[in-house]
Amino acid sequence: MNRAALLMSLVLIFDPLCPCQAMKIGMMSDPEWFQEAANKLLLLEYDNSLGGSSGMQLTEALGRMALATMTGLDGFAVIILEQENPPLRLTQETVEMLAKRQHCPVVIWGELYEQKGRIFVVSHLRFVADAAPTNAHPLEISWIMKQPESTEPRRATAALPTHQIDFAPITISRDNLESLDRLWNKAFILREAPLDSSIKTGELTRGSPYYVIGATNGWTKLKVREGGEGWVRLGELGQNEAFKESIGVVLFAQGMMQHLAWSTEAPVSFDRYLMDYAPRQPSMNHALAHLLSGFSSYMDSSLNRRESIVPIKQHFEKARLLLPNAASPVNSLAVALFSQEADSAMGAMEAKQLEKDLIRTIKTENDSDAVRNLAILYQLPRAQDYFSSPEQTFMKARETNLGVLRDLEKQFTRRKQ
Amino acid sequence: MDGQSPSPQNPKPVVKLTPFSLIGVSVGLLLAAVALLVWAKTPQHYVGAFFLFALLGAVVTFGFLGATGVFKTRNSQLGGSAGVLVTILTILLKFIGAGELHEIKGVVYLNEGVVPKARIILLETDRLGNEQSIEPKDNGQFRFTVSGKKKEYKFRIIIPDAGETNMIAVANREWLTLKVDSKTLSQGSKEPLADLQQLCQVENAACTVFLFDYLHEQLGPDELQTFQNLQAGRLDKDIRYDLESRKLLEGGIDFRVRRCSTSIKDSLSAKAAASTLRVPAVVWGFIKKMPDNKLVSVTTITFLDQQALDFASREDIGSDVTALVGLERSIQGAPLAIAALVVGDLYIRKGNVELARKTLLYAQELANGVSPKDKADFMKVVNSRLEGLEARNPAVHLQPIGGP
Repeated sequence: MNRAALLMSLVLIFDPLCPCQAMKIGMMSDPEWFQEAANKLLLLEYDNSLGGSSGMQLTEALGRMALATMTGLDGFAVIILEQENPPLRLTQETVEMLAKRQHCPVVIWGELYEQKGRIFVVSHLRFVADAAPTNAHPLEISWIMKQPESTEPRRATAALPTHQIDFAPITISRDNLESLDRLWNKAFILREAPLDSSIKTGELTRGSPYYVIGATNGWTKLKVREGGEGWVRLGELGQNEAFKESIGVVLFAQGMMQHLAWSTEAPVSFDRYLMDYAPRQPSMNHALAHLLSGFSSYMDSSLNRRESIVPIKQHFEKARLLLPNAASPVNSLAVALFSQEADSAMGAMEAKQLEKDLIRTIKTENDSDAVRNLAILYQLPRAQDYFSSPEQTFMKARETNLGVLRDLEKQFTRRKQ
Repeated sequence: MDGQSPSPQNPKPVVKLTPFSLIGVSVGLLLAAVALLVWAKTPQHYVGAFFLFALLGAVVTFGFLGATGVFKTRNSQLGGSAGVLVTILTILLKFIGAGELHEIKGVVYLNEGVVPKARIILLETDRLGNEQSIEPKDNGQFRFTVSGKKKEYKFRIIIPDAGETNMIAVANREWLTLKVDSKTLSQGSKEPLADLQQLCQVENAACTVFLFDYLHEQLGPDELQTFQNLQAGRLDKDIRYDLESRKLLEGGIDFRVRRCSTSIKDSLSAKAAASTLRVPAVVWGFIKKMPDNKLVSVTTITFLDQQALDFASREDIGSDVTALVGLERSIQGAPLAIAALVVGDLYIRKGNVELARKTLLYAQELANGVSPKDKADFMKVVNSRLEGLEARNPAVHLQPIGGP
């Protein structure tokens, strides 16, 4: 790390402005920035295989949009890291290493290919659990069943199928590239008032951190470390129709960060993402948005569970159709149905379908959550009614399957160890 | 009049130059101007060359006016030639203004360090000095003066004893960066597959699929290079990220698609290449430009099983290489399906039954990306592995109580 970065990090540790909304562009090898900020988003320079600054420009634009549009979080900071020479190959390991060093649980990066004046942008997002604050909302849902014959309560759980998602490529044309340049130049100018015609009070300097101190009508008031302050259109890129597609990844990251921070705005962000962006995305991306929307609503204690469970189940059902071989949507449906069952009986058809789906995912993925969830399904107080078998037949079949499930759980635990 | 001092009433007469002195001065100026123009490296050099051309015009005019007697006085003769100098210089300088002469500079890297020695050629320019040698003392740096700004510049980089490649650099930064991967250097006229092991070195062959240069027809070298580079970058990154996003690259499996800069002509050579390189599969193909300028490509993947199997993609058609590579859509098709099969096999070898099954089921989902005539063969390979895994599935005895 160079001396300037060391000094800056020392200044920021004792920064009177934090916790804050802030942004900083650093280098991949930098130590942690904004140690005081509770919620940090990390963006890594988009890889431009042909060289040039478009990758960094796009990354910075996305970071600014995140900063300008984030709601429902206190102490939010955006950290952008620029590649050094030689560049770091961004693999699962290196992305996680950077996320842990910066204590950022959500990381965005990507690639762009420039050809004949067009840019093709591919984005990725990764959730790094080890970098999340200890009090973060978990990225799983659960339901606890107290069994009369057992002192140990059994816990049904559903986790996400993945922690990394890809976004469908977007294309930016030459005309839009030129308008990006114009917007870019404009977005560096600080003005005295939130008006394009207002007096220029200064300019943002790359590499120097800045802090959000106000916002109105698409304008953001910034304080720059050097002492200046002024209004700037930080999120203007997001309002430009040509770049609308590129902010899908920002919206997804916002939803994820809101979820981690227990913000009730997370389902709103995911529902907006599902409406505006998800249909064009790969199935894993689309399914994950449904699951996260369902998870956020499920964990929102302000919602009436009896009323909210139907749309939650619909989200999980859609995810199940998108990922037919994955255990996660089936486990999520199981948790939602068990939770509903505490208030009113689920339908026999639903229970039978759930049993079939759980067995299929146990056979395909050998998923340990599905094993536990199936055992709970068999031990629900109304289980016999759901499977409509004579009592003796049901008890015998249940004991056989519970025996298999116990063996499976032991085997999976051994394999994990 | 000789010997009299000039006065306003009695002005100096014109200077009459001898033909020998006029021709001598003109030739000297012409040579100097042309030399300066040819070797110009900075805008100042161009201005100097244009000034010499204007001076040449002025000298010729001066001699012409003296010899013909059009003007009677020396002042008029001087004024006439000065006028010609200014006129020519004004006209020539306008060309500099229109072309916006400026310097482009950059650094050539070979793998992770600066290139020690290379020849760099600036392509698509009408400049004569479009070629430079990079010596160890240059630290990989080069500089060219170009007229007219461009968003991107094309270069050919020739590295002694290593090969050559064409690259495009986007002119968004003060210093252009040209990163050459020695594995992507073309060997020019070498016989295909002659030095395969030297040409396509890889650390972990079991996790690597090689992409060979496509055979081509009616395609320019730049267009072909662009296609190959985009295809290699895309397949490597997008397949890896897609598998990572499904948690299918666990336990240190580092799946990669690497470029091998030689061509494969048929399945027999493809099988030989895969065996020699000990990789599970090789990608090769054919690309052609049609009379209507549309591009057509066919990609074949030779997969080494007990016998070599060829799985072809559907025929891709595009108006340019970006459409052909499919940059505007997520990765799909035979390359992704076969990558899943390759990774599934790696998990089987490692004894990781769960991940093997999960990966092969994903390969099964992707089977539609393989061409219809090869789909049955592909499914046969995937299903045979899944059946083998089923015998080791501990959950096989679990049956629904609620009926099938």
